[in-house]
Amino acid sequence: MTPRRWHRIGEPWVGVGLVVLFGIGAAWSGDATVMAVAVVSLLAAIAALAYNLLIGYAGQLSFGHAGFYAVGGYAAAILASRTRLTFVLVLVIAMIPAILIGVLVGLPSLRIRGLFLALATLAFAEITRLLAGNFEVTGGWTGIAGIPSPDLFGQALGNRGYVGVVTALTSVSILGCFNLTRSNIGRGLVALKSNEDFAASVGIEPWRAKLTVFVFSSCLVGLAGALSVYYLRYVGPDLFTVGYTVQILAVAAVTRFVGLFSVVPFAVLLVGFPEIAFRDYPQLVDFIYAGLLLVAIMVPEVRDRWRSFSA
Amino acid sequence: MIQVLWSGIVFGMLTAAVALCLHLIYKGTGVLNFAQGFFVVAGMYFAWAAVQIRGLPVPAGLAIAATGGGALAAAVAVGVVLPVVRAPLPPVITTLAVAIVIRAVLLYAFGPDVLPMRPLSPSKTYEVLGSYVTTESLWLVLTAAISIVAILALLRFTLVGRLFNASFQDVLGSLIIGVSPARVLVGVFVLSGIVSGLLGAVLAPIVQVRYDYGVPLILKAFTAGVVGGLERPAGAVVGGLVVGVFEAFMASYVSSKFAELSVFALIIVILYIRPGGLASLLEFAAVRRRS
Repeated sequence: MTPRRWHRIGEPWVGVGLVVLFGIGAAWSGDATVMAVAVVSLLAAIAALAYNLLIGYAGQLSFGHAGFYAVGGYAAAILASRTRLTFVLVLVIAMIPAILIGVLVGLPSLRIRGLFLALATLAFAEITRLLAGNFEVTGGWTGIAGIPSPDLFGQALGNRGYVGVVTALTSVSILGCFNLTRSNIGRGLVALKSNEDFAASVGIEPWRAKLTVFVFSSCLVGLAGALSVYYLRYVGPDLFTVGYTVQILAVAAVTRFVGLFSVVPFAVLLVGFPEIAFRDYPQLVDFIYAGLLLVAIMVPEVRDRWRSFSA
Repeated sequence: MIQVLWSGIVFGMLTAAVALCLHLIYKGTGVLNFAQGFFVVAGMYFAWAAVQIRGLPVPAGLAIAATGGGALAAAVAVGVVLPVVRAPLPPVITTLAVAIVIRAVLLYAFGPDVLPMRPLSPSKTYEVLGSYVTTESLWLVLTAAISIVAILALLRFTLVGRLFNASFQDVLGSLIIGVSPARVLVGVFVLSGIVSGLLGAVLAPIVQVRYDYGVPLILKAFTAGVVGGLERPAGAVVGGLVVGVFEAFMASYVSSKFAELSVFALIIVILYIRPGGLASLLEFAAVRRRS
């Protein structure tokens, strides 16, 4: 959050450079495990970017990201397994429900603040999960399996190609987030966060800025959800628990203290690596995320205390 | 009809007691404790380990569950809430993270299976007004009722409770007369941890021991808070009962699949209509009466 001079010019491009290097490296290695780590981490990075916009810039604490992830994922899974639409079309269409539901949940978020927003969004995420588990269209509690492999311009995308697509989309998301934070809306959000009445008095419309960032964020998370379905070839209610929200929160929280450009290295460290290393113990993975999240939140406080002791 | 009402009251009392714990922590620290549901779940496992596995007598099991819940809450309060409590949002995130940690530890240690728990006293069924009342549900209702009365009495009639109350009303003012906000914070956490542990112990024979009960339970308690308001103890209790009865009626007259879901939807609907919860209507009416 602290603006440093070199960030202003280089930060987005450092971020994109890291993404592209990482993607090329993973695709070049050709190793299935490495590419799996790459896809998982990049998707987490996209979701964390979206989260950072919402909490870091707009100051709106949402626990509903698992819900938007589920909306994107289920939309893509249903379209891919029931229709003959191509990969790109499925991705684009899958973002529409994420946007619509983003508006639907975003509208109350203009009235609800702080703690109560966290409550309402957590309730939304649980409702989405229960709905998905109780309807036929979404495959009930067993979910939808056997989603066809992605194709681009009539060519089947291999694992390598898929890493490439995800890398490109992550780069675009990083640039998009940076541009949004430097637009009128982004600067308006910073003003709104520090003093809403003052911001309104100089002509920033609170509802417009907040709704835009909420919808943009839910759309990005929906995209990550849709992409994850093509990688896992499966979608089910067990993917979208509160644990997922905490994973993404952990990445977003750590990223916030270092700078947005570090989102991919942290996503690899916090999501990609443990996902593979502790594959047999998924509950341990949850534990690690939550622990790191706690540390990330506590660190600045502890540091400040230490400073006041030593000064 | 009366059967449905009774089952609503049984789970309503549980929700009411948990919501009262939330109220205590909210007033004492300004934090919504997302880990509260998992304090109850931890109480289930403590009681299960003591009574089912070790074969200890029931009073010992209850004592262990209460102590365990209190100790867990104390650790959470000192370890992860106290260091960040001055910032507005981080404490909420840390309590959510604690909830996930407790869940993960229980899942890792005991596995995903639902563990059976024997009744605390020989199971009997009574017929009252044409509805069936089991001893297990009586245990739950009585424990919840005693906890609620005990908490309210503690706040009203003892010195410690009055000091808590002073701190709820004015942190700075009570600090001047020597009430430490940090001690109040740990105090409300320990109190609600003890109550949650006990509730877990009496809940276990009804729903069996399961690690994933925490999230629905906390969301129902939050719904109670939104319906009745977390500002007043009576609001939390009334809200809890309303939520329990609402869910029971939804389950038997509309659809059992969507009962829990409709309770969660209630949070969003109510917050959309009244962003401060339904209880803000009461304040509104009070102001209007005065003017």
